[in-house]
Amino acid sequence: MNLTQSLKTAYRGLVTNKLRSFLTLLGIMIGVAAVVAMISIGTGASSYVSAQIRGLGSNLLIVTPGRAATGQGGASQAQGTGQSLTMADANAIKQEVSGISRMSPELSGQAQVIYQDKNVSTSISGVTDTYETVHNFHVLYGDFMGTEEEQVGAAVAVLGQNVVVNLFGQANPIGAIIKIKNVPFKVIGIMESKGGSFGNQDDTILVPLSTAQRRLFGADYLRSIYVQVVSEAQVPQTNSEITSLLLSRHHVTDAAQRDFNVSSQADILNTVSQITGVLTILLGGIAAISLLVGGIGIMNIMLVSVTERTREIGLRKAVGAHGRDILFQFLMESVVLSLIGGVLGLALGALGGIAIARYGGWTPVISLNSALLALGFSAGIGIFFGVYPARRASRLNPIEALRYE
Amino acid sequence: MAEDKSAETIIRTTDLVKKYGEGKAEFKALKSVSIAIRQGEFVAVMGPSGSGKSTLMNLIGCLDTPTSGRYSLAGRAAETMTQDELADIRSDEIGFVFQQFNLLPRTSALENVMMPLSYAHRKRDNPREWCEGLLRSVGLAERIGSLPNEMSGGEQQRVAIARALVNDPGILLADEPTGALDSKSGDEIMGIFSRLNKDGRTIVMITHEQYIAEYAGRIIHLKDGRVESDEPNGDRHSRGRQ
Ligand SMILES: Nc1ncnc2c1ncn2[C@@H]1O[C@H](COP(=O)(O)OP(=O)(O)OP(=O)(O)O)[C@@H](O)[C@H]1O
Ligand SMILES: [Mg+2]
Repeated sequence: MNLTQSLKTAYRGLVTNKLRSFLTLLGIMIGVAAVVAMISIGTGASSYVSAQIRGLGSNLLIVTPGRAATGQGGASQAQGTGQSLTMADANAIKQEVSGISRMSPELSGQAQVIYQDKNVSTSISGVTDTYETVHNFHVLYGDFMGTEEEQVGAAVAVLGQNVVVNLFGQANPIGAIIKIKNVPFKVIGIMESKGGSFGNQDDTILVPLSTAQRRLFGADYLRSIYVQVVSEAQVPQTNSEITSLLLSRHHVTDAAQRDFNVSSQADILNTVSQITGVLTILLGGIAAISLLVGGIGIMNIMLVSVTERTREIGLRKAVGAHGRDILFQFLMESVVLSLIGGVLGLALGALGGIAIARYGGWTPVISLNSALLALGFSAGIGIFFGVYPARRASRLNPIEALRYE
Repeated sequence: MAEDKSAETIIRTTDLVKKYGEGKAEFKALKSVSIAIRQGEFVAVMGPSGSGKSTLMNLIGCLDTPTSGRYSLAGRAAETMTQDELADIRSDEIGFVFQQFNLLPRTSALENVMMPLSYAHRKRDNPREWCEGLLRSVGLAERIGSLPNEMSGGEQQRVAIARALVNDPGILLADEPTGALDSKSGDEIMGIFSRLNKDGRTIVMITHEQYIAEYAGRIIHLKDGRVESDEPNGDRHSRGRQ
């Protein structure tokens, strides 16, 4: 029996029970989708993380309030909680710690923003004039706030790209008055697009720090201080100086009890890779389990199919089919079934990978390797779980098979 | 039967025994059957239910192996052959017709007829035309694309006969081919069998009905796993090459 004939027979066997075949290949489909998405996320995220380190430089320190986090890289877990960090701390750091080139104290929160009939909830950050350079994130149209706006607490705002789209659509927002927490603000600039990422900066409205503290959040503490150190080599030294300065200013003797955290940009990106690592392992688990379950499903359906078609097998043997012809026919059927699952899974996984890449802000990577891997995997599963039912079919005694009711 | 004596013996069983089951459940379906069938004969096998007719037919058709005794088909000892060798014989030398037709469901008459070709060694140049020709020869020119559930029992059985002939076998074996049909369809099937026999094919057929057996040239009666009688059929109907 040649390959095209076997394929035809296998195809016919599968379309006779379309729904059943589809349900059977669902497991393989999900498994392969998880594998493809996993590889896509894994490679995409890691190249994103290294690109971020390259873009921002590794000489950034971030001081945040909150309970001390245990272990490296866990710093961001407690980030932004607590009210222990003040503008006075920021000023002290600036005056007393060595090796600082710039710093950007910030206070952020969520607030309702209204423009005409549009009403959105978005993140508001109070920042100073150093924000642009420290974050390597610049104004595209109009102006950024300067020291003057900061001193007088001017009600001016610079909008992220998404905010512009959400509030103004195509219209020019510069000079317009928007209401943040019912306080009118004049739009003076638009930031460049930064692309999606964890904590999307395009969704943010920037206002002067003093304005945010006094008029929006009624608080004099800070959510974070970004410190740009002169060189990467200087980072550990500056880090420990900031730590000891804040310990003494906050009257904390036991470093483990400190109410703030100092972490480097590298630490935070580490956390990001840890998160994507966990995601990858999770998807890997889903993949392994659903491939296994999918394989068992295929085996189960093939056994059912062998039983249902016992008479057909008997007939085929009676007219001269060898055991191996029958073996090949059923093996082909399970391989075709799992391969279709593999192809559908590949498509689904690619879509998933692209969706998550969009959300995460990196370029999706669907490599030829992962496609081949997925297809190889599903064919392998089809063979592995198809062999037993196929052997069973091939060993049927023709007379007993023909008599089977 | 003078002219048949010259033809060579194509089926010969010697003291054929077939046991089913083991120990207490053991049952001897064939107790010692020795028959010889010459090329071109048309033989009907009769006998009460359970007398071992189907068992004998399965052995002759190389679908099963005997417990003891010898069976030679066209001079080759079948009892010593491997499963694959038996499968090759079933493919090349023997055509089967079953009581229940055994057509593949949801598969057209033509494709049912073509099915055994995929297991045969000999490849035909124009398999489709060959099979269409076979369907026409059993009077199903109009039914080539029909599905089994669209056909009458007699038509389905004729498809099955065309399928049995697809590899041009010398021997046609039929286990109650008219058992599921009315007498009119039964006569049609027997008409085809007689014609095939005239063309030189050896036919062995099991039947319960005397009027069907009358088509054969020789009638073997089985009883309790033994040959009870084996006689030429003196009826006016055709027998072998006359
Ligand atoms: N696979 C089997 N296992 C056990 N006993 C069997 C088996 N096949 C047949 N037999 C027994 O062997 C005997 C002969 O069976 P066989 O099918 O040859 O009878 P038959 O002459 O064809 O009968 P019928 O006219 O009813 O078809 C029966 O008693 C049957 O019960
Ligand atoms: Mg029988």
